[in-house]
Amino acid sequence: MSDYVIKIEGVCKSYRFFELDNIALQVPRGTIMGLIGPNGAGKSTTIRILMGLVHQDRGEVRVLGHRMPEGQVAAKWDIGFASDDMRLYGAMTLGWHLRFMQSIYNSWDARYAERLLKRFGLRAEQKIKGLSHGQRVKAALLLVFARRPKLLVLDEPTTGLDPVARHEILRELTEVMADEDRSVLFSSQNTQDVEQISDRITFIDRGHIIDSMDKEAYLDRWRRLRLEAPAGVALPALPGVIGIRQSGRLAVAISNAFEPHLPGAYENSGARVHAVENMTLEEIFVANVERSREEVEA
Amino acid sequence: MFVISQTDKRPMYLQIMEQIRQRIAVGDWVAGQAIPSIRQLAVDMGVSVITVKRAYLELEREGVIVTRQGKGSFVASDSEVGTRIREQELAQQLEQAARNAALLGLSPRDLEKRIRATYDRVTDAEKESV
Amino acid sequence: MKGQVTLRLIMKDWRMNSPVIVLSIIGGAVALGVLLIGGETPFVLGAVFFFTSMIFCACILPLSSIVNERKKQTLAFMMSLPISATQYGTAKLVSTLGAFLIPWLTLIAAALYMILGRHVLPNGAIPITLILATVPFIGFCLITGTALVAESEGWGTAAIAVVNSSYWLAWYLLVSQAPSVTRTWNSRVAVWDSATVNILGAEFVSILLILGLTMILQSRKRDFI
Repeated sequence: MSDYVIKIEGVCKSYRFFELDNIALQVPRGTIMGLIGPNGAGKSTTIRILMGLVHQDRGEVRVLGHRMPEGQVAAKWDIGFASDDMRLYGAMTLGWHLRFMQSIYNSWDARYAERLLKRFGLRAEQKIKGLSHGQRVKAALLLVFARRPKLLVLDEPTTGLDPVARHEILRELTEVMADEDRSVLFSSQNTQDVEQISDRITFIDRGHIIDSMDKEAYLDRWRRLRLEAPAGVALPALPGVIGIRQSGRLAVAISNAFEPHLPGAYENSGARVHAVENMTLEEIFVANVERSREEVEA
Repeated sequence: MFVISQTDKRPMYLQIMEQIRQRIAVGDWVAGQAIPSIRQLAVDMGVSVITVKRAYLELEREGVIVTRQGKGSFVASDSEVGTRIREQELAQQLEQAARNAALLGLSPRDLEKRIRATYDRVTDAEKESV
Repeated sequence: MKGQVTLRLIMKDWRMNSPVIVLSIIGGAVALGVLLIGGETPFVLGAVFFFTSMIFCACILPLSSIVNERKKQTLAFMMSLPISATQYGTAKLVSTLGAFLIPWLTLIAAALYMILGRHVLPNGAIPITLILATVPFIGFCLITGTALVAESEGWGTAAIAVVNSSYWLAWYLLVSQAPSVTRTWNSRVAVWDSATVNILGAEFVSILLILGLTMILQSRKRDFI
């Protein structure tokens, strides 16, 4: 138990037009978990439940060993939370926010905060309402980073940021990685970021967890096969292949449970395998969502 | 420093492995030298720990590096390791060349001619640059 | 550690609401200054200003402190701090109440000074002044409680609309319940008969009930955002 900073089991939550069903995920200590899924999939709701801000209808949530939402006060001392729908006080300066956080948290690192101000190109004297969207996002993240919390829970930290700002944020996240006692859970629409820095990936769509596992193992399970079906040869339906698109004699097969013998199985049926390609997380994302929606409609 | 290419279609861990092999082949990292820990390299590259871990595990399996419990990772203290890496690279490249040639419909003879021509051109260029 | 965060939230609210507090005190001071001029029209004007300042505070404070927090989406920022919904509610109630009491008590004290010290009105006016002035306090509690417990801006503004349009009715009912008060307001001595005392008592009990109910409802919330 102490090896997981987040452990969610059997969590359900019903809203009028949306339902979270049987959510389960684990984040081991010292790892980065990336949460991906389409808009409205339930990422933000899941994150709020694990922060204790929303009370689940059923299921158990443990964060840093505390049961949520009962233990949220104790847990939140060590959690740094930022979400894209969160705002700071527009009429106050960034400096006021820094001092406010410093007055509450013992772990506040003032020198690190200063460095981050420079790195992010922000000035403490500025009022929040005078900042651009990207600067506001960086300001909110700065307030989280400078506390050096044991667990960072970030809901879309890089959404809406220009490439440079995104790079700055990712750089700080990888700095967190340097301490094997600290962990991160973040949700993102940017599959490239998730692919690059996550140790584990959780896929959520329409209130269900589709996949949750080790990133390398996950990426390894998916392949795109480029096939040629000579005249008269029908491509067989093979296990592990979730979709085939054919146009003329050329076809593309997507596998989500790739085994080394799969290309051979196609060749045995008379088809030729032109290439076996790895897929990017974005391509997997689209294939996964399309498949799970087809299954629902079927 | 190590950089992941976004346009490179190969998985990240393979890119990392190749770059480490290059470092060793070029002589930047010598046999027996300590190399960055998995976590350290992950932070430096801005890449997940698990990806670097996988790269290290594969390299260890190939005998390119060794990890000593509690001490860290080192370049394998095998004086042939630089050569061995080059051998592996050559084998991979030849396989790729053979595959491409077959797809293009070249005969083994044609391929041989092309390799010879390329070899001559490359070695001539190197002689001139010396 | 826990108590400290609640305290800091209260002080933060006071700091951010200080312009409103100062404004309302100035408004009240103007009202009472007008009263000092003497004469019937200034008296009516002054009295109107006096009550208007109270009503203004009763709406504006819950709006800027509570409704805006949800509207401007700073609530998520607050809830990311190590506090519970109950602690947040307590901090809000205390800070908003404190912010209201400053101008309210100041206005009452100034009114008493006008009556006892400057004799703008005879002493007999004291009971009715207190009874009438407590009504905006009750209104404030209703608006604040609704704004805190309800999830939307709509409820807060609805409470303001309902409360503001009910003042005249409340005043009328109270005054009609205590004929002795209206009879004796002109006398040189303040008359505290049982009807008067009961009314004042009922007013303060209702304040406590409303605040208590607010805290109970706030602590039973399951979703804070």
